[in-house]
Amino acid sequence: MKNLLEILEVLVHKAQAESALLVSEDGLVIESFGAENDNLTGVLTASLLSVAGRFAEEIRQSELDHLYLQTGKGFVLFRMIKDGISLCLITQPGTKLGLAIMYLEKYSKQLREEL
Amino acid sequence: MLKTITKNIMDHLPENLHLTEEEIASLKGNTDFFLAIAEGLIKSFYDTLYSNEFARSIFKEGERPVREASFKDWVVKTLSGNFDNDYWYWQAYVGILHIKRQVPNHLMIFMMGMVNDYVLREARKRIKPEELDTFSSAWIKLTMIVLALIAESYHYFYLQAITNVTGIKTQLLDNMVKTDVDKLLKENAKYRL
Repeated sequence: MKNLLEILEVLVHKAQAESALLVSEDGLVIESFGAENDNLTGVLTASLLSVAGRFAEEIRQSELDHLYLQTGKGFVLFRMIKDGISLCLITQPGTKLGLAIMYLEKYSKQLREEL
Repeated sequence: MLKTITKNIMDHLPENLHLTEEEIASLKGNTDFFLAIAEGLIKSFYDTLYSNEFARSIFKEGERPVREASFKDWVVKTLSGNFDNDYWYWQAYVGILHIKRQVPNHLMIFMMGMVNDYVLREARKRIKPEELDTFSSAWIKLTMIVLALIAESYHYFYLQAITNVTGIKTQLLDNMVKTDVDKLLKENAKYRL
């Protein structure tokens, strides 16, 4: 898992984020960097994406690709990687959304290749 | 799915808690006893239920005679059936009906206790002493299996409905519970022995 951790670490630094996690569809954390309560973040990520995925399936007859949350303290970006595994990127207050998305996309591809 | 759930529950039933041939014969051999007490049992059952405001609120106006007839049907079908898979599927199906009618498990368990108390008290008065042990064991085993099937299918299908609507799979629900259960234990630590 060294490569996964390295990729998450680079992503967090370049996107000026706080933390990043790779989570299975069961809510188990596969790898994380910078996360404080990763068990809870893992199940919350998986449950959010389950509901959003169900919404996409029922309302748009499509698959969920990514999900962005805007909070008062910054963005949380979610990206489906492969086989039910998703990437969660928690930004810092003031992180630019465009920058975060750019690196999220770039490193999602690398993670996909690693997994 | 109902069949799978029923099988899973029945697979967990220890061998010595299954109804034996002798016990099934005792239940069926006392059909007249059940028919004789049915009216009193059903009246007592609904009197008890309607005496509680919450329980009463589950029923619609004028529904009691319909429910009383259903209860009698349950007694008749139970005694005329074979306690085979179809019978157990039917009991598990009641769990789904309870979700629809919002009958919580604790209420169902209270009322099963009332039924057992009533049946066993009447049995002591009316059934031959040499048959009473076998009959009592049979009745307790039967009602405990029914109780387990209704309660567990209620729990299972309640979660299944959440899974179907939200897309949150069972394994994720399990992990969500695992994440929270230690916090719940800590919050309620004063009740620990």
